[in-house]
Amino acid sequence: MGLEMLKENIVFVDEVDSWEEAIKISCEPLLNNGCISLSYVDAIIENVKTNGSYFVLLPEIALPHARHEHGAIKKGVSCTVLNKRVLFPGDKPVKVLIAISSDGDDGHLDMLSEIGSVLMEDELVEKLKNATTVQQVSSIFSNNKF
Amino acid sequence: MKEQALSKKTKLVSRAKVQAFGGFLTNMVLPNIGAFIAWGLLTALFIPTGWMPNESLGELVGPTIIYLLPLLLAYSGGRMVGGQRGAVLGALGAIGLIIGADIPMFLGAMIIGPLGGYVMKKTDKLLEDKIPVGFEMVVNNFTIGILGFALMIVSYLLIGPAIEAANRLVTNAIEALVATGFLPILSLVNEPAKVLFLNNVIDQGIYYPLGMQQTLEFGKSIYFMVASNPGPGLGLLLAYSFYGKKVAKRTAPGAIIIHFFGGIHELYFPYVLMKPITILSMILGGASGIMTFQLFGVGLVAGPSPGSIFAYLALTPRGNFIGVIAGVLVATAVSFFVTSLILKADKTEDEDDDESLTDSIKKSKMMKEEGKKIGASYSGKAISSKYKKISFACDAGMGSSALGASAFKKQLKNMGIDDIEVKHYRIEDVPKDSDVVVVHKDLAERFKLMNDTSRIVPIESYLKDKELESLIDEIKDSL
Repeated sequence: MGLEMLKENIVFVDEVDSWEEAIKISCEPLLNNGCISLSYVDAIIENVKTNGSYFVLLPEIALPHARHEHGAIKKGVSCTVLNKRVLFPGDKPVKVLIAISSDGDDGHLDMLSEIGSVLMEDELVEKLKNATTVQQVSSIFSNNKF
Repeated sequence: MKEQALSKKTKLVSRAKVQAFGGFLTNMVLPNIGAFIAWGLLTALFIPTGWMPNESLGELVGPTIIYLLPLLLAYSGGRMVGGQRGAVLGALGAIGLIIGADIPMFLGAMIIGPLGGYVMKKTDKLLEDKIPVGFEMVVNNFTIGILGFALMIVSYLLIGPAIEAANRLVTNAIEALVATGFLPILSLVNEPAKVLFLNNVIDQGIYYPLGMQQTLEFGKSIYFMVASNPGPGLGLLLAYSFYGKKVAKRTAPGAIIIHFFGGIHELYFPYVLMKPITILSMILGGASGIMTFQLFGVGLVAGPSPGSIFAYLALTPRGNFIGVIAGVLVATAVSFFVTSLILKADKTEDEDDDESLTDSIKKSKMMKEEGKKIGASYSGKAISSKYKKISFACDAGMGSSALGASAFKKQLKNMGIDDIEVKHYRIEDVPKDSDVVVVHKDLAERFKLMNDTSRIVPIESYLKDKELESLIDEIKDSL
């Protein structure tokens, strides 16, 4: 449970100019759904600039997010797969961005825990990096409930 | 079973498969050695032919070896393959075997246990995502219930005829071999049959009656010694004591006392089961023992029960001592020698192949952990760690740290640890009484300014990180 909204928020992009652009693209679905306001996007970019790319959790996998009071409205998640990798500060290449938002409660934790169980499986992570269709991505996340 | 022991996804070279399979058997048996020892002590002391016969305490002997020990093996095996739920199903399948057979069902339990685990795993996989919300408990319990019900019946119905066939086969084989007149060859059948717990069938059913006939005529018989010689088992256990690995090495000396002096041969059976190739040393040891007995022309006056060295010496007719002792010693030496070779060869293999076999090593490491976990819970030791509170911190306190904490918690849970509090915080909210604080290395400096009492584990990735792995190892070692 918790990840069902992901299906509507899967995006494929061939190439981006910068990591900032990558973050903006990954936040777009959340903006459209009213999960976040524009300031949240800026907060994420600020977050990277001050704290480094710590949300690049695995090689090529990033989890863009910021503090909820910086413009998050409700729980949301999106998945963006880049065809060509983009470099984040600290020389960290990123191919998949899973942007998340929360209203400040712990309501998003079940969703995170599901994302976590996917990211713990090397095989699924590989599949995710190479996914080319919405179907592929959503099946990676939905077939893997523990 | 091989397939279950291994992750199917990884294709391993065949030797690796064999090794992983061996590790699998070992880990099924080893956590339960303590139970075997308890039973051995009980048996050596209290059975009617034991050292302090006691009718009421002796009542513990039968049910323990018939029910408890095979169930423990099946449970461990099921748990290794299918987790806690697999363990339950494995035990359910095993009880069908046990009730259906009238000999201890060790081998059967070692097959049905992992099979139960496998069935559980596959079924759970099949059902996941299909269970309506709120019905998980009901569905989960009833799947075990229904599968267990079926597995019990199937194993009950299949096992009776299978055992009967095995008994018939062994009896026929032994009769044919006795007819050849060349007795050392009997070990070919004796030793495997013993380890499969058919020892009473062959001793009391075949050899002792043959022996008694001979004794009436000649005053002694070698048939009392062909399957009851404690030498081969002693040699095997000695070899494990010197060249075995870890737990096997540490438990073998205790098993020697109960086996050799107490005469409870069952104590060495698990050590053969965990490395089936050592049956070779048992056969060669047994055969060389019989050969020695024949050379000296010695026999015993009655069936030694239990087959302890004391019983042997007590039943040795005058003038036969040298031959009897020599037979036991030769059997010990041969079995010791062969087992040592096997155990040593195994070690070098492990070292040679570590490049191509990383998978299998990883796997056997996992198995070892599993065994450790099972061992810990069986010994009744409360699982607890030196750490009580582990906090994951990141800037926002809702994403990376939450994911890291949830994954870490899951890992601990898989190890059977649930009394460590693992939570995620914003850097500035981390409780001061946290034992360990896991934080990205880029944030570590900032964190130190606020909290300098907790131990800080700086990491590069909240999900997979060497530091996190060593933290897990540390917690495991402190159990």
